[in-house]
Amino acid sequence: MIEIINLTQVYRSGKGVFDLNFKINEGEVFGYLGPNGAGKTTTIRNILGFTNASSGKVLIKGLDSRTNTEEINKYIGFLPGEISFYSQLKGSEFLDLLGKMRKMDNFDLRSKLEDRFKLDTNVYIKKMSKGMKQKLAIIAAFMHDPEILILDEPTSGLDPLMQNVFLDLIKEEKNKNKTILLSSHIFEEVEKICDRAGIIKDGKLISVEDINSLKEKAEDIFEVQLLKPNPEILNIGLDITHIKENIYQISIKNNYNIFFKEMQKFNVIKISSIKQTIEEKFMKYYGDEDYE
Amino acid sequence: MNKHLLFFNIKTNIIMFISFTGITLMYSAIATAMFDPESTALLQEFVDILPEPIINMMGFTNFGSELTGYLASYLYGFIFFLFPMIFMVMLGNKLMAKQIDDSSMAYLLTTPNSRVKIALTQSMTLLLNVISLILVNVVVIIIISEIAFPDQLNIGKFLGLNYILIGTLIITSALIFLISIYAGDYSKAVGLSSALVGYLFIMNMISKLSEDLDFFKYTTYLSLVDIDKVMNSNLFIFLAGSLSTIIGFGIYIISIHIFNKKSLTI
Repeated sequence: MIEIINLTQVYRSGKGVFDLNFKINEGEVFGYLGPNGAGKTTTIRNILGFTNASSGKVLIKGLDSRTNTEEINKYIGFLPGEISFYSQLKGSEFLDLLGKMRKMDNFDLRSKLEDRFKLDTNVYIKKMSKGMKQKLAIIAAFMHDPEILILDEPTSGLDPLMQNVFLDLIKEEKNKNKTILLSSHIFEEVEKICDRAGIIKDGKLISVEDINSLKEKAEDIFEVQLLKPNPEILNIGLDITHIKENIYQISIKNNYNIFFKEMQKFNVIKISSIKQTIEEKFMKYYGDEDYE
Repeated sequence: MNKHLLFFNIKTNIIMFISFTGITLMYSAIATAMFDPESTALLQEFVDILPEPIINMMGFTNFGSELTGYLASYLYGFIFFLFPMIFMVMLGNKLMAKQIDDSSMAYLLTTPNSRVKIALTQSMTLLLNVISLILVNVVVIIIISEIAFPDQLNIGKFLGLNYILIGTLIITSALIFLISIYAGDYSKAVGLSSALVGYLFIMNMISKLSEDLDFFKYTTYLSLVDIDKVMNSNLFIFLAGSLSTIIGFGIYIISIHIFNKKSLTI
C-alpha cells in the first residue's frame, strides 16, 4: 500500500533522512518509532508529497506521492504532529471546511467521533486546550473514513483516558482493514496496537521488526527499594546497578521468572517501573556506542 | 479552483475587506462631494502658495475645474495606491506565507485538491478582494458625481483611469503573492512585500517632485496611472491597462507553478 523506496532528504543543516526503504502492507498498523528529531516527520512529509526528496520516492497504491497528491488524497487521513489550525474558526467550522473540500456527504462518522471523544466543536479553536485541539485533529483525520491513515504522534496532549479511547479507535480501524502509519516516541503505545514497527534514529532506519520480536528485545527497568542496603542483590545474575543506599535498578529482558524468584529472598519494600524513552529502550540494543 | 475554499476565504477575511473599503470609500465619497469648480480655483490659489515639491508630492497637480482631473489628482496619486497595497500585503501573506509558515496549509494540501487548485483559489481570493475594493469606490464616486454634478464627470475616461489602476494593482498583488510563496516565512514575506510596496510608492512620489526628477517614473509602473495621458489617448488606456493586466496574470501563473514545484516543510 505504501512503499518507501531509497528515500533520501537532506536539509541544509545536514539533517534529514537517508536511504529509507520499507513497505507498509494493506490492513497493517505500522509503528514508526524514533526519538524526537530522528526524521519521522520528514518521512511523513514525503509520504504526503509536501517535500521534494533529494532522491528516492514514495509510492502509495503504486502512485508517486509527490506528483499524484490529488488522487492519493482521496484515500488519506492525516494527523499532523504539530497541529496548527485556523484559530479564528470554531471547531465545527474547521471540520465543515475540510468536509466540503473532501466532498464528504456522510457526516455520521464525524458526529460519532465527536461523541466518542467528548469534544464540543462549537468552541473557537483559539479557546481550545491542547487536548481539545488534538481531539479535533483526530476527528479531522478520521471523519471521512479514509483507507490510509498517517498519524504523527497522535496521542500527544491526550489524557490517559482519551489515549485509550484513541487506541480502541485504531483497533477498530485495523479491523476494517485500514492501513495505518503511526509515528511515536513512546514504545508502549506502539506495542499495544501495531503489527510491525520501524525504528529510526538520526535519519537512518535501524530496523523494521515484528512487534513481538521487538517486545523480546525491549528491556524494562525497575527500581527496587529494600528495607536496608544489601549488596548480595548485586550477585543474583541480573543486570543490576546500585543507585544509592537501599535503592537498586534492575534491567529485565525476558527474565521475569528469575527476577520474581530472586526478589523473594530480599526484604523488598517498593518496586516501581522506570518510564523509558525509545532511545533508552532500544539504542543499547541497536548498538549505538555513543548513547549513554 | 475550489469554490468552498474561495467562499471560506472571503468569509473569513470580510472584516479586513470592509475596513479597507470603508476607509477608502469615506475618503473618496467626501472628496467627490467636495468638488466645486469655483472653490477648486480658490484651492488652487492656496496650493500655489505652498512649495512646489510638496504640492507635487501630494499629487495635487491638476485641480483644474474639471471633475475627472480633480478626482485623479485627489485620489489616484495617494489614497488608491497606498490603501489597496497595504490591504494586499496583509491579505496576500495571510493567504499564503502565514499558512505555509504555521503549517496549517498541510490541511488544505491533504484534501483531494491539487496544489495548483489551492494556489489558484488563494490568488483568486486576493484578486477578487482588491478589484472589488476599487470597483465599490468607482461605483460610489460615479453615483455621487452624477447626483451632485450631473454630466461633469467624463465617465469613459474615469473608467479608463481605473482600468489602468486595476492593472497595476494586479501586478502588485501578483508580486506580493510570488514573494509570499517564495519566502515561505511569514515575517520575511511581510517584510519583503512591504519593502516592495514602499519602493513603488516612494518612487512614484519622487517622480512627481519636480520636472528634473520626472525620469523616476520609469522606475515604477504606478506612474502608468497618469491622468494627462488618459485624457489625451484612448490607445494609452488600452495598452497600459491591458499590458499590466497581462503581466500581472503572467506573474500569477509563474507563482502558482513555483508553489507546485516547491518543497514545503509543513
